[in-house]
Formats: sequence, structure tokens, C-alpha cells
Amino acid sequence: MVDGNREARSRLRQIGLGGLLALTVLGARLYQLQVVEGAEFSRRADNNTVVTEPVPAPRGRILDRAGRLLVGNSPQFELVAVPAEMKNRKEAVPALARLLGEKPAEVESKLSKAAPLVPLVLRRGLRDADLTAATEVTEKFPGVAIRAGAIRRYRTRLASHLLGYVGEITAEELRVRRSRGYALGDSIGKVGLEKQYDEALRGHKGASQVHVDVLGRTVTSHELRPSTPGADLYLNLDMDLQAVAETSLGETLAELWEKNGERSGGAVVVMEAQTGDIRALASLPQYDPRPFSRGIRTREYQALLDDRGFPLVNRISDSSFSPGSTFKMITASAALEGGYCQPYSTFYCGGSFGEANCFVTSGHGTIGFEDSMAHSCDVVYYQLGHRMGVDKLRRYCAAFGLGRPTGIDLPGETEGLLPSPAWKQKEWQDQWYDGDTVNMSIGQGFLLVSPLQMAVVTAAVANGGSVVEPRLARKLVERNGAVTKPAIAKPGKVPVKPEFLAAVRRGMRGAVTHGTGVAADSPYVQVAGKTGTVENSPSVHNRHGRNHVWFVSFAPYEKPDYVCVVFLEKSHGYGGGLAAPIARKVYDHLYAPPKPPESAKDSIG
Amino acid sequence: MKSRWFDPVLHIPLAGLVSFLWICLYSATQFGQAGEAGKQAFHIVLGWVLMLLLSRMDYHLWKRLAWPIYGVTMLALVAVLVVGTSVNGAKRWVALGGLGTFQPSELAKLATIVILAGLFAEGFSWKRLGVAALAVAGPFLLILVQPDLGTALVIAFLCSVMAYAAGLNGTFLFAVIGLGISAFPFVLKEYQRDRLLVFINPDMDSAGMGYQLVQSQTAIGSGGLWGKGLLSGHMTQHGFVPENWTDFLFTVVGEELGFLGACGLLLLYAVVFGVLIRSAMQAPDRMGSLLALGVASLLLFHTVVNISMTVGLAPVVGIPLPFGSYGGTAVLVNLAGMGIVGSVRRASRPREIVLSDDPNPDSKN
Repeated sequence: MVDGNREARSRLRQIGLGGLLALTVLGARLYQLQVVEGAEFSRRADNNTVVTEPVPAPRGRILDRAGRLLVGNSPQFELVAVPAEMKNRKEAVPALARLLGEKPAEVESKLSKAAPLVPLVLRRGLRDADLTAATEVTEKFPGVAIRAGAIRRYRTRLASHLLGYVGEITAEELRVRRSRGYALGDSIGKVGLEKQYDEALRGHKGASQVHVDVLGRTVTSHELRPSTPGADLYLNLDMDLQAVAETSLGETLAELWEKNGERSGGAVVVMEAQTGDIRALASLPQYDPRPFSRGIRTREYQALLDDRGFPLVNRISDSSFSPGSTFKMITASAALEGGYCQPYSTFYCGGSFGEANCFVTSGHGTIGFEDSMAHSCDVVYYQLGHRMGVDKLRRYCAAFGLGRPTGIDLPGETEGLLPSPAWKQKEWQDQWYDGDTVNMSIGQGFLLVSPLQMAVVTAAVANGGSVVEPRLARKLVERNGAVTKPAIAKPGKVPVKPEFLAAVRRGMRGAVTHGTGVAADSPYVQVAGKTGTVENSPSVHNRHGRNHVWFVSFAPYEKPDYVCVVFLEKSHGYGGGLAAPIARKVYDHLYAPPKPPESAKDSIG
Repeated sequence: MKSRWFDPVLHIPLAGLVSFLWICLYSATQFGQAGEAGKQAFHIVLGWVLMLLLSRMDYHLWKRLAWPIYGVTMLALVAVLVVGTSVNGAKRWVALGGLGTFQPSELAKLATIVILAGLFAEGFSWKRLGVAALAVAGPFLLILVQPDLGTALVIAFLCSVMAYAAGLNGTFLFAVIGLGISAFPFVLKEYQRDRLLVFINPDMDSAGMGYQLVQSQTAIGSGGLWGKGLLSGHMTQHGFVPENWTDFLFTVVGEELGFLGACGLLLLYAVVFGVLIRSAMQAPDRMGSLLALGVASLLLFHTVVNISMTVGLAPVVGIPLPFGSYGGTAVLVNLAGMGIVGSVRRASRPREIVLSDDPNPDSKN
């Protein structure tokens, strides 16, 4: 070769040049990809690997009037699945079902209903014991992961109906709230204060730019915008008083259960008479909010639904009942203002009025106006109501706030039922009879009120006619210290002269000193009150037709500070015997002189 | 003063190429294959020793060794079909007990070069071409049924280039190549046809096969002029480019070292290729020339097809990047090829030195 075969050398040179040409073409292609289109590919690479993720904002805490923590946040681990990333779902689903203690079909249906690319939270608040098993599952099945998050932590077992709980946002909730920054997978207040003040408590989400690897694991992240923590909610609630109310109510309900062989529920409202600030608000039975915040299991929820005590029912503001004789506060006020009687009038009770019997069937004989309150003589009020007529009575009911929500800062409040002849015609296809008016004047019949509405009525009588708006929130304090106080509606005025309301108060004081409510007589403060016993016919939820009982009250008698309303359903007793002692325990707690130091440092929960 | 072992013109650029690629492999293996780069280093050292030993051997021995090597290759290729290990649906590996696995199709490339160089050592004739075609048809078909289209193409390419260099009529050669290409649609298996279609339109299957192509080009393109820095390519380091430690190693160069790094690599390949072609031109005889050319063609074809595939200029065929892609057999075979060229280079050294050092009667034409 060295001495030359020209043809062979030229062919080698061609091959060599061809090779170099091919390498040059590659270089040109690289120039096009990396230099000319480099920026575009760089953007595509980022799309491939960079996601903007919301940074969750810590939810605001809930505290009582003394600044004691009721609901806070705890770190927690949650099990999530991204349906689209799950490879061998047939094997993964039974493993997940075992871990969650659910049926494979349930897990599969959850996964198939979920958005394919969004992590679906299967279980919040994994316990340490579950965590090991969960880790094994996540290692075995791609698309299943454990994520750190925060869970609501309840520092108290009290007041669950008020505090409520948070849960994952539903598609329906999201539909109406998407424009306000809510997104799939967010927690949202479902019930109670968590729901009412959700937008203040939730704060504002931040955003961060996250580089992920091909498995979606975070490699690096940097914050684009910090999150703003939610505001802390301070309540008017006094947790010591709440504990007293719940304990005494609970004890009475336990006794009733044992005696009646049937579960009863009840409610206690303690409110400032002048302002409507709520000091305690008990509804029993109640539920444990913790399973809800970690994602309640179907089995657990079914158990709550099947519970004959109906623990999911809020008996303070969401349910309404006949007010019974406590309604005589309104009948009396209306009769005095309308001139149907005077504070010094006397009546005769022979035990019945037409076909309607008095509460004391033997009759009260000759009785004065104030004692008719104290002894709860029905015949007097039958007469007054009958004389005044339903329209006038309804007008006073409306003035005292019945037939409409009180406006408390809790979601789902009932308006009760303020019946009218037109209403009866529509609902019952029947006319309004005088007997209906007579029934209504002692709080029986169609009229329905919530315990909270009765507290507002009682406060109006006690404070001289102001119809206050009950208020749980005291203030919202943001993390930067800014304080927001809830707007307070100007209270309505009851069109009843102060001296007439004073006469009603005298009657109520009499009930506690020598009438039906003596069981509420506290050694520490002058209590005034009115008992109520509602006669029921047997029905689906009250098979034996047991009485509901009430005790509405205020104290001190001379210058009322507090209103206390106690309600017990299906109690098979009298308001004076069952409900009044609970009110007394509340007043004892409020007015008893300070105890010796060792027992004074009661803690909540 | 020249050393008996050290050939700076060949060894320095080669060492540069091998180290450059090993560093890229090291980077690529950080996501999920940590430790494999060490194994590769072992193979490189082994291959380097093999190269040095082969370059001390008289390359004319290959003429006599060609047919035994051919026999061993055929046996190994049959064995791989019978007892081979299947990876990604293709049977390409034979387990060698404690020694790991061995890829006979790599050996077949070397066998092809040696056989053709031996056959055409005395010049081109149609009879020799016929023998060569019959001989190469064996390994070619056995590789095609593995199936390993890439290696089959390598063998076809080696035959074409070496026959042309030996003196085959250019027009005839292009006619045969044209016929071969037009036969493609009839002999391709369905998955191979799919690969071609996906190559033409990657978006067609951007989540499946096209994903590989799209991710590969994105990674390379995103490297820009300067690259993202070694061990800092986000797509490389976090598994966004599948197979980037084997056939798609070039994406690491593209993403982490940028256009400048990629051009540097191309330049290294060009220098080594140039040295090989020059060795072919300066070889003492036709056999030496053909051996050097065969090794040069092997290097060029792998380099160009592999990089073309990663930048979207060629469909995905299983052709590794020479000296770079993870794989022991390929590294050993490539370095062995360099050793053969080394022996050709030793024989073609200026006579006065060669004569005093290592008289070689065959080099006196």
C-alpha cells in the first residue's frame, strides 16, 4: 500500500471524508437542537420536571375567652394514591384495603371516582402502628405514597357541635368556591365554627416551584410566595362553664336513660343577657370530631347514624321543639301590652278552659297575674290568648324573634315554626280554630322554637326588651396581630313597656322562690325562671310520647347578667324537677365565691 | 524514542475519548444504577490490556485465526438462541457462569472484519466476494432472528465498506444497498416497523416508544450552549431519559456538557477515526489496510447511528455508543479492534526503525 495503489488510497480517502462529513452533520444537528432551539427545549425540560405546588397555610386555632386552646394543629402522616400512577392496581387495591380496614370494592370505587393525577388522600392521621405497614405498601406499589400534613387537634372533648370539624372538600363545595381559591384536596370546615369561619381560619395558600424526578419525588423546591396562616378565632365561650353545663346535662341524661330505657338528648344555653355573647352552649349527646378530621370510615359514620341518641343532631340551634309553658313569657307580655290584663289582675282557675285542662287539673282557684307565672297556671293563659287572638299573639312572637333564625354565627340554624291560619290552610288544608290559639298561648301545638331562640326571648324579658343576636366569636386575630371583631347587629326592640316586662320578671322570680322552679334557687344569686313541660303524643322518634321539659331563666334577678336555658327531650318528667337543677348548677358555678386554691385551677377537657 | 507499547498518536486521543465517556457514564448511573460505572471501569482496564497485547501480535496471524474465530462466533450465536438470556424481548446474551454475561453478536462484528480482511488480502475478485457473502450470511441471519436489527446493519455496513475499499464496483454496491433498503418493509418485524413510524412522528406515541425519542431530544436540547454542568442535568440525574446509561448515553453529554461538550466529543471521535483511516492508508499491505478500515468503519457507524438516534435523525435501533455505553463485551471488542489496528501501525512504522527493532519480511513489498 505504501508504494501506492492509487485507486485503493482514493477509496479510503472517500470513506474517511464521508465519515467526517457524517460527524459534521451531527454537529450541525446539535447546533440546531442546543443553540437555536435550546431555549425552547429548556422550557420543555422544565415542564417535564417543574411543577408549581401550593404551599398549604396553617389553619387558624380556636381558643376560648380566656385564651385557652380548644382546637389546634398537629403534624400527621397521610396515605395518598395517585390513580394514574398506580401500575398494578389489581394487586395494590387488596393491599390498600387490608391496610385501611375497608373492602377492596370500596377502595376501588374511591380510586375510580378520583381525579387521575391528583393525590387522593386515603387516610389522614396514620398511627405509628399503621405507618410501618403503610410504608411497606408504598414501597411495593408505585403511585401510593405517604405524605406529611397537618391535622386538626382537639384539646377538648367538649362542645363538638360548636367547634365542628374539617374534611376534604367535595366536588359540590368546590364548584361554588373555586373562584375563592379553594382547590381539590383542600380541607374545608364542614360543620360548626370550622365551617362558619372557614375563610378566616384557612388563611391563604402560598406557592412553591418544585423540581421533581421521574417518579414525582421532590428534588428541590423554592418558595415563590409564602403562605399566610389563618387567623386565630377567640370565642366568647368559657370552657370551665361549658364543662359544668355539659357535665350536669350529661348526668341528667344518663339518669333519664337508666330510668326510661330510652336515650334522651338535651341542650343548655348560657348567654350574656345584655349582649348575646355566648358563654356556654351544650348539646348532648355529641360525637368525637377526630375521626372526621382524619377521614371517617363508612363503618364509623354508620354507627353514628344508627345511634339512638342522635349524636349528630345539634339540639341548640338546628332543632326546634314546642316551647311549652316557657312561652307564657310572650303571652304574658303581649296581654299586658295589649291591655288584656294588668300586673295586679286576678283570675280564677277551675282546672280547665273549654276542653283544655290546666297543668294542675284540680285548678289553682283564685290566682294573681304574677303567681300565674310562678305556678304556671294554664287556664289564665288560655283566657288571655283566646281574648287576644292568633294574629296579635303572632305579632309579639315575631317581635321576640320567633319564626326566624337568631343570627348566631353557626351554620345551619333553624328558623323554628311560627304558625298562622294561612300556614295551617296550606299545610293541613284546614282552618285555624280557636283551640289552636288556646294551645299556642301555652306553647303547645304547632309553634316550634329552638333552645337558642328561647334564650333570646328570655334575654329580651330580662334586659328590658332588646332582642340580641347570639354571638360565639369574640375576635379574629391574624398572625400579624391584626384584630377583627365580628359586626354586631343593632338589637331589635320588643314593643312592650318596661314595667310590663318587669311584671313578667317578678312572676319568674316567684317561680324560683315559691313556684314551679324552686329547684333553680341558688344560694349565691337571685335566679328568676320559668319552667315548661311539653306534652307529646307517641311518634316515631318518641314512641312512648314522653314529655320534653324546659327551664328558661336569668340572674341576677335585679340586674340580669346571664340567661340560662335548659332543654331535655323525651324526659318523662317536669321542667321544674329535671331542667331547673341543671340551671342552678350553672348559676352556682358563675356566682359561687372562689374556691380554695387546689380545686380552683380546674382545667378544661 | 518510541516505546514498544505506547503509540501516542492512537493511545492519547483514545484515552481522552474513553475517560470523557466514562465520566458521563458515571453521571448517568447516579439515578438507580450507582456502582455500574465501576464495573465498566474494570472492563475498560481489561480491554486496554487486551489492546496492548493484540498490538504486539503480527496481524497476519488473523488470516489463519479467521476461520476458527468464525466457527466460535457461529457456535456462540446458535447457543444464544438456544440458551440465551432474554432482555427486552430479544435473546442477545449468554451466561458465562461466574464471569457474567457475554454478547456473541459483538464478537460477530470482529469476526466479520477479520474474515473480510483475510479474504480480500490479495485483492478483489467476484469469487472472493461470493465466498465472503456466503460466510457473512450465517452470522447476519442468526443475529437478525435474535432479533438484533442494529448489529445486523453493522455487519452489512462493514461488508459494504470493506468490499468497496477492496475494489468492488461502486455502482454495483449502491444497487445492492438500494435493493436491501427496499426489502426493509417486508423483513421488518412489527415492533421494528413501529419504531420506524414513531421515528417519523414521535408524537404518535409520546407516552410509549415516542417518549424515549422526545425525552432524549429534550434533554440534549435543554443543555444549550454550555450545558447544565456535570452531575447537574436535571433530566439525566432524575431518570427522565430511560436507558441513558446504555444506548442513550449521549443525552448526558448533551444535557450536562452542552453544545460545546458534545462538539468536543464529536471532535475526539473524529480524531480517533482519522487516525484509524490514516493507519489504513499507511498500512504495509492490503490486509492491514482492510483491518484498520474495518475497525474505523465499526467505530464510525456506531458513533453516527447512535448519536443520530438520540438527536432524532435515525430511528431507535439497539446500537451502543462506542467506548461509552454500559456493556462489557462491546468495550472489550472495541478495544480489541484498536489493538489490531495497533499491530498494523507497528508494522507500518518507518523502515529504518522497524528494521532495527522488529524485522518483518511481509512488510517488504
